[in-house]
Amino acid sequence: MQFELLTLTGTKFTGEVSEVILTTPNGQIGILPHHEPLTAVVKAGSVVVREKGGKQTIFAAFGGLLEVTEAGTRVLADEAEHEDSLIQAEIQVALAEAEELKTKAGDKHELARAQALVDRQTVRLGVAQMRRRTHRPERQTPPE
Amino acid sequence: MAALQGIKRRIKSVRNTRQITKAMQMVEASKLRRAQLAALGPQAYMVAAKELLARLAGGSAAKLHPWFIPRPVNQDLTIVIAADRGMAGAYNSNVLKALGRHLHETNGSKHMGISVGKRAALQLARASDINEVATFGIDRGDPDSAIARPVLEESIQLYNSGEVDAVYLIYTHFISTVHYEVITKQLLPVTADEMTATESELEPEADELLEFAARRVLEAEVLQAVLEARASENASRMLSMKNATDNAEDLISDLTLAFNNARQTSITQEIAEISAGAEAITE
Repeated sequence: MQFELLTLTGTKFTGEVSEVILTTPNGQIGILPHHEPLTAVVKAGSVVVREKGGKQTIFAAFGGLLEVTEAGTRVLADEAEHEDSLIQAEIQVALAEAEELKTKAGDKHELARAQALVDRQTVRLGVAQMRRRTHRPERQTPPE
Repeated sequence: MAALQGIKRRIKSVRNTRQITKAMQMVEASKLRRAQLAALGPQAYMVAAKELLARLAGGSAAKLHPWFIPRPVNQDLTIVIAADRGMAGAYNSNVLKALGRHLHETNGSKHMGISVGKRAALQLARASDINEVATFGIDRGDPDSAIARPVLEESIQLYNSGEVDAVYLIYTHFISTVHYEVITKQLLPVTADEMTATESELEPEADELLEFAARRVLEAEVLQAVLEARASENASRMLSMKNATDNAEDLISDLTLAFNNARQTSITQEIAEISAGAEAITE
């Protein structure tokens, strides 16, 4: 089935895939070819793309929409990062910084901004950790 | 001699102007490159997002949601996106002209306006037939959804509270460096595309999903409009500065010619005087 991962900064993935696994508010779902038409909210987290040859790519997506039609499957995310750009050590530093910002936040806006940063880094960290684990073939549940 | 001095001074002043306009042209050219890339980024996303929204709007769930149901318009809201600064040729006035046309076309209802960019804010403050409710800067901040979100939030609030019954967006669509087009489009209520309407399963509940999806797509639309407006503004300013530079160059070459003429005249005159004097002595 045709799969596209589109973001505001460009197209992150497009091609034939055999399965896509992502998280909706109702839980994690896997989409196989000939899935019934579906429109759903995608929660921030991992988007696992399995290509025909068995190659697997993981993206960290920060919320968006999923649309399954007969023509194919599309994910519209604000942003998505390829697993290669997620380096665990760097993310941990960034997460620590974000948490420090949160404790220092003076007003509501600063707190909200810091919280958004923390959430974002947590998602990135989750995907980076998941990537290490998924070098083994079995499927893993992404951390919340 | 006095004439020569005057021309010299003018050449110098035009040269200074040329230097400034040339520098501004370069600055805008580099800004344009960045703005162009930024405006191209969301294009694939936008096409898909609009299709998605049109499909949703055609579905049965949308028939019950206020964002998708047209209602009689007592008051409308127009979001106008123009530049923060001038010196961009006809860019700002083209946008504001389109606003005038739009207000004229919808003169059955009262108008509210949200401005993005100082030039738009000035115009809304001046115009008597439109009531300005909010104003935002366009140059501030990175080109991400942080620019679009507050604009859309404000509009959605007004629409939900029933104060306005339609939301329009006026911006410039960036086509190429020399070409942009002012576009007026309706954001709310979302217009359905019956052709592509398909029923699909919705998750979570229809209401929640519709609102989430519409908000997201509209936000992307406003963001795209801001990005394209920026690119058109930069392109327009770059062109007008290029014209100004060319004009300055023409003027400089005219003045240089005039200067050389005047200098030659004065030299000829001096020689004539000297040779006349010399002749008078020898005689």
